[in-house]
Amino acid sequence: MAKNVLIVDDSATMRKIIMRGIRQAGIENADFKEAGDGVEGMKAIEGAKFDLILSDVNMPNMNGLDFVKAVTTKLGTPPPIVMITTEGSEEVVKEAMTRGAKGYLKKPFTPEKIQEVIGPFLK
Amino acid sequence: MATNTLDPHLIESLQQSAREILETMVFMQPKHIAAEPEETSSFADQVIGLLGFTGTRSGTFVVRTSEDLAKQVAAKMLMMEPAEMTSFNDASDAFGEVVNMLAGNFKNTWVAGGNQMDLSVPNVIHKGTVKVQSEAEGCLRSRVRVTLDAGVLDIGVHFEAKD
Repeated sequence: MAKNVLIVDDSATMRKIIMRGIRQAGIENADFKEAGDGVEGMKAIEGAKFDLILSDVNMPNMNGLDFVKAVTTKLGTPPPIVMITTEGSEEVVKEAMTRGAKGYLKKPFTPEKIQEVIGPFLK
Repeated sequence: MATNTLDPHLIESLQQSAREILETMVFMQPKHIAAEPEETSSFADQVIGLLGFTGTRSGTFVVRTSEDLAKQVAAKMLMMEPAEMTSFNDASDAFGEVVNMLAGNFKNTWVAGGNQMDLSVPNVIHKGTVKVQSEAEGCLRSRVRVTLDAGVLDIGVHFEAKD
C-alpha cells in the first residue's frame, strides 16, 4: 500500500530531486504531495493524511522549525517529520528535534543516505 | 582600501562543499577548484545568486556564472536537456538551490567555530548588476573559482565590517 509523503521545500527543483532520490533509493511505495513553504504545508495537512513529512528549514513565510512546531501543535500526534536541509549545525538539529522532528537529512545527499534516514519511515 | 580574506579553513571548507554539491546533486565533475582573490564588490555577470546572512558577522554570498552554465546546472539537477528549458525561471530556481547549499554548508563550518549565522533565502538575478558592502576597513572577502567543462562558477563570500 502506498505511503503518502508531503515534501515542504521552497525550491521546486529540490522537491523534484527529493522525489527522484527516494525512488533511486529503491523506495517505490510513495505518493507525493508538494508544498512551497510552511504555510502551504499547513494547508496540505488539513486536507490529507500523511505517513511522512519531509521539510526544509530555510524557507520564506514559515520556516521549517516553525512548521514542525505548528504541525505538532495542530495534530498532537503528527506523522514522522524529517528535516532535509543544508543547515546541519548541532543547534538547528537540536531545535528541530525539540520541536518534534524525528530525523535529519543533510543536503547534499545520496540515494544511500536517503535509504538510511528515510527508508525506515516508509516500510 | 585593502580588504582581508577569510580564514584558510573556511575557504578550504567552501572548496570541499562546492565539490561535494556539484558531484552529488548536480552530477558535474569539477576540473579545478581554486581560491582566488575577490577583487571587487560590484558584479555584472549574466547570472548572480545572492544570499544574505546576519549573526556574528553580516554579509552576502555572491555566486555568479554564465547563463549557459546556469542552464546546464539546472538541466543536470532536473535530468533534462538544457534545450528543454524554455524559461529561465527553472534555471533560476535550481541555481538558487545551489547557492542555498553552498551557504548552508559554509554556515555549518562557521558555527562549528563558535559563531552564529542566520541565512536569508537565495535570490537569483538574471542579467543585472549588484554591489555588496565589502570595501570598508574591517571587511573580509574571498572567492572560490570552480572550473567545469561547461564554464566557470565563482563563489564569493563577503563579510561586512564589524559594528
